[in-house]
Amino acid sequence: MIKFFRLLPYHTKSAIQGLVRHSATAFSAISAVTMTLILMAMFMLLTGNISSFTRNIESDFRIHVSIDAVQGEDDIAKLQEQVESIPGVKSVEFSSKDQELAKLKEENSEIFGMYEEGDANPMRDVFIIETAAPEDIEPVTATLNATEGINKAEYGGDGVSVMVELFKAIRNGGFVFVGALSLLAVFLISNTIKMTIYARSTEIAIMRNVGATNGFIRVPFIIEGLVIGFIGAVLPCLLTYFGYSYLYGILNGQFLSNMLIMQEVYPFALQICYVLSGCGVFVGMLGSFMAVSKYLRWKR
Amino acid sequence: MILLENVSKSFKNGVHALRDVNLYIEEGEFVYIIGPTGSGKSTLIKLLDGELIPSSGRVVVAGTDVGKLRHSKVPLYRRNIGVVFQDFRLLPELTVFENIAFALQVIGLDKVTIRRRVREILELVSLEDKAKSFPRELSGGQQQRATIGRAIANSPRVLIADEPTGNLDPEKSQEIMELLEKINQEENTTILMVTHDSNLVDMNKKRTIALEEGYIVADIQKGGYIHHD
Repeated sequence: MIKFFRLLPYHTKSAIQGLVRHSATAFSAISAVTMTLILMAMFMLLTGNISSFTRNIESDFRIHVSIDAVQGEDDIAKLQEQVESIPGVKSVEFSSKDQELAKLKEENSEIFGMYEEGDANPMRDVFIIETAAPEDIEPVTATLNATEGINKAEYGGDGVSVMVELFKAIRNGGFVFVGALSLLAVFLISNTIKMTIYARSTEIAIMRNVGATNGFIRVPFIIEGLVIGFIGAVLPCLLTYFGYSYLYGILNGQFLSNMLIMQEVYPFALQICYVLSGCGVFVGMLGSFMAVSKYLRWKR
Repeated sequence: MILLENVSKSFKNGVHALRDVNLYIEEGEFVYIIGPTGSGKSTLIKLLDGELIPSSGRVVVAGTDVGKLRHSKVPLYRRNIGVVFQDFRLLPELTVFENIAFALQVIGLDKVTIRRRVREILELVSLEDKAKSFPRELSGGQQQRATIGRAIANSPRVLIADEPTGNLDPEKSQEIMELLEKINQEENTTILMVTHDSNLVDMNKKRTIALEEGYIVADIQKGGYIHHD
């Protein structure tokens, strides 16, 4: 181990020499990394946003429950406990009729100005209920409607839940796709690097001839792979960060409607950049390792 | 130093390169291996170098059973022996200096020692002025001397030279010969030299082993080339 670190400057130097002296093949390997990572970045941006859309819509999935006007404060507290115990209910928030009126006025400006708080208030006290999962909404609403003391329980409707299901399917499909793409990237890059190292199989054989151990031969190549992967990740990272910032800017953070809110540039795009450079470096090193190991066996 | 016991080597294509070879070479000896093309000389070198595994029998060099080495241990074994290849096998992207230094770097010597040793070697093989040249910029004889320099850089106990004078004119050949003799005497290195240069063998008489069709047909202590009729 100590020897490894002592030799690290030497290995790094010969890795850089290797890159410079075989710059054409290194360039082709770097382009392979770049292309694959750009594809990956696009799909990660897509799936990341779709999953954000889904999360946003899901959080809009609230049941609006109006309480019978005759209920007193104690009864309301009891009713809240009862509602909280219904399976599938995540949270129950109480909002008095005055708060409801204030919210209405705020959202719709002057029109409701004629209504006063207190007895002249036409609103009802409400519970805003969130469910643990979108699937729970229907049964919970049904239970609520059958509960005594509750006037009416309502939610957004079937159309929204169909959309959420669709988004979920796209997102899961996207994840599978990104996974498959990463595998493809490893294969593609290790193949490209294999080609670049093939040109040097004689070199590897000679190294063994003069007494270089397999580990010693591998290290510079693995460092080369690391550098190739890192350089290959630079362009995709820049594209992701600035491209997404630009897109976010012109779309104003929304996609088509205010229901589909895009992931914020920070930290989302930055996280993708980390993943991309990590993938590039890892895949470059793995590709190199696999390729050198193959040619180490070329001759005894 | 070198011991071959009932060594045979045959290839998948049915060629029997060596048949039941028995050979013993003392430490510090200088031995010629002669024989026509296809007589098994190259196979013998590859067996000693660890590149090939004998089909049967035992190859022992400096106490190591070469045929039994694991793939990963072969390079470690090679640090004890120097091989001068017929096709030079210099790393094309490294200068002469770097090529010789490489053999020392792999065994983990420090920079200062390496630099000093490489200078010594360059002087020994008279390539001081070519230190910064790449192999492709050198003549055949110069490349040959560079390979010899690399082979002896880490003071191996055995030096195996495969046709070191193969593509050189007689004058240059004699120079190489003198260099090898110097190494043999000064460092007490056991030298095994494969050649079919009859003039050279007759001029510098040493123990001569003749191979033919995989058999040892002669082993003459007083030396001299065996001519076939």
